[in-house]
Amino acid sequence: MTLKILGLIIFVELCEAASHVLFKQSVNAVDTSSLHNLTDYVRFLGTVLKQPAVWAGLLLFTGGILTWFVVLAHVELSRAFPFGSLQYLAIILASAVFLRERIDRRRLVGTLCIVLGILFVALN
Amino acid sequence: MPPRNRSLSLKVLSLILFWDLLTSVAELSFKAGASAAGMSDVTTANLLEFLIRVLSHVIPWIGIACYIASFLLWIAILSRADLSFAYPIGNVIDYVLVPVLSVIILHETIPLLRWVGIGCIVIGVYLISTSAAQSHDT
Repeated sequence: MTLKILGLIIFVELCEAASHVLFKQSVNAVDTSSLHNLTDYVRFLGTVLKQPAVWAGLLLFTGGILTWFVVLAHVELSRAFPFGSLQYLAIILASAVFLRERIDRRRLVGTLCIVLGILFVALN
Repeated sequence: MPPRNRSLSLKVLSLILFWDLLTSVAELSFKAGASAAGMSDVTTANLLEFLIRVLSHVIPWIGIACYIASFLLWIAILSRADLSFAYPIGNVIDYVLVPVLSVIILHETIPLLRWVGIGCIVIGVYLISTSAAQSHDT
């Protein structure tokens, strides 16, 4: 695996993580307290789709997928697999820092278990 | 800490798992489409040609439809759950269900250490799913 491919893989993982943060930020910007039925949700989705951040997220997500095609043409899926764990770390960090989510110990330990588990799965 | 609202968490949890299934179907159809395109060397230079070839098949369009549906569902999920709750739970099928199914259906053998990894992931998902779905529950 060349340094270029490694860079592309990390780029893909971070793109996807960033897009999720942007999606959540768009949702947080909208009032979600009165969503009771499907009509409420459809109206809510419409409001979310008016947020510029959601489109920025979709752009990043699409960019990530396209880059992923390039990556998969050069390395086997199984070799790119362990880097998936990077996204879990990026997401929990960004959730705490940018989204101000309260991460209790249970959630932190759970996320670390998943990261460890992915490494075990990927390296065997 | 016990979940503050278990029924909410259960509903959100099943939506997250359904979302995971949708994205897995989308990814599978993309993979099928990519191999149907029959190009072994995709670079940034011929990416466009590759995409046109992939999109000339029907299967990837199923994937795109699944992706659009899963995006809308994901936005609905995020209105009810923290990202740090929904994300790790919503991305485990690849790591747990796929290997387990490959054992049951394809009779593949999985090395012991990989089972340990799968076990870690299951424990992690259990821990996260029993934390409160939202930090700002009312």
